[in-house]
Amino acid sequence: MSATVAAAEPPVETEVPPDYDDHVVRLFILASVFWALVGMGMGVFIAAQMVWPGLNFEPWGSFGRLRPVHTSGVVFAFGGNAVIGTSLYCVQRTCRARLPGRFAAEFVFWGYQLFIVLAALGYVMGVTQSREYAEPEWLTDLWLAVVWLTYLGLFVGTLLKRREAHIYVANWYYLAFIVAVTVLHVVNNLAVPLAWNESNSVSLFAGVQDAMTQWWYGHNAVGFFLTAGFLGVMYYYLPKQADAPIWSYRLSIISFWSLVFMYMWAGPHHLHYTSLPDWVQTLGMTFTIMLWMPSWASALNGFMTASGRWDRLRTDPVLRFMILAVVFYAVATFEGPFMGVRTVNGLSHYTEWTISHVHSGALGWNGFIVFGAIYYLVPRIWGRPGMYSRAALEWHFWLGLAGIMLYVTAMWGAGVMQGLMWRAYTSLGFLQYSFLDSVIAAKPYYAMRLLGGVLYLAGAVVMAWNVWRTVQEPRAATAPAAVPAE
Amino acid sequence: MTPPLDDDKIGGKVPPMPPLPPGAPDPERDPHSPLRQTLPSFDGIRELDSSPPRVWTYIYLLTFLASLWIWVAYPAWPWFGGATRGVLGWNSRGDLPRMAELAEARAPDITRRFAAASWEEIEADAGLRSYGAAAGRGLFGQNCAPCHGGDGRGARGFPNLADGDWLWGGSPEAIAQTIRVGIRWPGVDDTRSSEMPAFGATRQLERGQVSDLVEWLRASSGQAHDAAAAARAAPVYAENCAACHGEDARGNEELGAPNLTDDIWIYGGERAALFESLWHGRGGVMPAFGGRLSEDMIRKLVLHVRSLGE
Repeated sequence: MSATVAAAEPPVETEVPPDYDDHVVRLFILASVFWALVGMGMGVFIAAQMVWPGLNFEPWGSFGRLRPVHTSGVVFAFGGNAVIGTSLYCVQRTCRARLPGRFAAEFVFWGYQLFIVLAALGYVMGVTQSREYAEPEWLTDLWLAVVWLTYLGLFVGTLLKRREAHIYVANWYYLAFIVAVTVLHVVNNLAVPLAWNESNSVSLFAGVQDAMTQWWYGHNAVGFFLTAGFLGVMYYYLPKQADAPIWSYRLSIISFWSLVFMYMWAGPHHLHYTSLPDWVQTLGMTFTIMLWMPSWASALNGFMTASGRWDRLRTDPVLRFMILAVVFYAVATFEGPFMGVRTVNGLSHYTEWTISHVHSGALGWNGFIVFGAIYYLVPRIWGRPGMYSRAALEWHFWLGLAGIMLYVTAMWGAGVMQGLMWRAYTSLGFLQYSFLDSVIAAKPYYAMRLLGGVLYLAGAVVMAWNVWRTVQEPRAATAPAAVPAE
Repeated sequence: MTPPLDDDKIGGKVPPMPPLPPGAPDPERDPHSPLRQTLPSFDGIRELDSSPPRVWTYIYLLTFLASLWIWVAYPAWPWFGGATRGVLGWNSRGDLPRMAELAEARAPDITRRFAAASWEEIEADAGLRSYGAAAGRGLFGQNCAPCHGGDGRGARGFPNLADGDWLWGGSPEAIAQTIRVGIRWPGVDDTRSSEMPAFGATRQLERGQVSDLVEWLRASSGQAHDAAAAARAAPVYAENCAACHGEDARGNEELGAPNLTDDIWIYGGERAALFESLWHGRGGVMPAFGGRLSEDMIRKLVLHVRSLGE
């Protein structure tokens, strides 16, 4: 990869590319694969706890402590590492500029891993501020803020050094992801520590304002972490893998600005039928409705970009991962605004329907787009002719898809059943079912969900093996022509 | 040096676009723009400038119109002195009494008759009894089922309410009182409070005496036992246990002392469980529901609980 060696070879491109810093990208991709196993493994374990409650080992291994290990493990550790890694690869190439600092890049990597470990240890030890997806306490939060601002500097520094007149659309999304997550993280975690040497703190907000701040954060963690960040992945890796032009620049602009504007106000739909004032609920609901088409614009742009390459869905499992991701993005962002409507929420809220919705997004959209990007990147950043096993790509894809289908349908069925059971009345006006009845009725669905999770995890294990073998494969010392094609 | 990527291994080479038939629109050209693409390419990625589909634009506008209507109709925007009220005049605070009135108006006549009836009137009226039991079923599911089970059959440590065997009395008033004050429930002065002492752990009885008592208990409840050991334990029982459980071992509802002759056990009738009960004592807890449930609700629960054994 060094410039001197590259210059000695016959130029493949018209211009010698800058000496990109891919070392840190490799680290992030390896970390993402590792945390995928941890986070998804934890998900399978807590899914098993729902089927066999005896698996709750008090207090460290109880569901309440392990659940944030799962959510943070997949969202921030698996997803976060993947998005940061892919963003650093993408921004260098689309700006034709090297990352501004080697030390800063390494600091972001190791600092982020330290954050993940600190957060996870806190969860199992019961050190938590009980804010969903923002459980780490103040000291860990401060550390993440330092790391995240360094990442912002690294990214913006590359943008400033760019040798292109414009900034590519993927980088808009990555930048929105970094900036918005900074704002969300700082505001939601404003707290007063009990003492300088105490790990616990008290939130700066109280009552319904505290709840609203938390769900403003919670919803935008979905909007800017799981949507904007991963749309950045889609906008670079999908056209690269499909070798196709982005379908509509115009739609990119409309959907980007609509998305970042609308998402910020949609948080109140997490607090329908609570003590949150009516007007906030209504306003949040309408922004949720208006968010539908901006979300679909991104999905549409993805589909149409791949349009004309449909035949490759048969032969190219990597592109198939990415296209399926866009399908699940479209499904989840249709379901989301629907569930955000007050009356629909009256049925869906507090049921497993929410879990189904989240996982069609997380497993289908976030997981699959990242898997696609990892398979795109690994041969390139390690300089291998391809992934070690093509069959393993197929296995991963079908295991993953089967897992999602089982998971999402099981939780959807369980959720609608719970919602209907909780509101069923007898002719005399009494509740027909107790909560316990609905728990017992959900048990077969929990077993089905566990099976879906096991299949999805199995796919991730296949990926980890495939990535590891690809990395371990000796660099092709012989001429590329001698590499046998499969 | 990085070898060139093998397209076949990564996922297959892109076939070149087939030549377009003459007169066909160029797929890479936007019909509304003379440009084939908007910007120079980024790392080889080109961008076209297609218009959003009409249907997309219309649905997007429709969601704006729908939101506008919702803002006009419902409380939606912060305004001086609170927020806009909406032309429909709806708000959740106003909705609550309306729905309560609706529920009241829709409630069957028997609801009011039950609320007004005395216990004797309810006992005498099969209709009121079955109404109360049906209402109690819902209350039972929300309040009692987590411990006693949906069918009231309990589990180890949680008494079976469907077997006709009562610790603190099975009369309507006794059941109602147990629900009101709970069992060994802290903070309630008149809670049901006696408990089984820890005869072994407090050294009131020797290990051998406790083992003998286990055999005595198995004999009294008609289980397989060691007759010699049981006979040895008879004076121990008379001295230590009979005060609460009675000379005949049939228990005492005043003290919540279980009947030891019916082979019905809260904590199990096998040797290890009996030994544990004698050695460490027992003192399960039931919450007091007196402050949480109204008398009307407790009457309904009593009717449901009494119907469980039927």
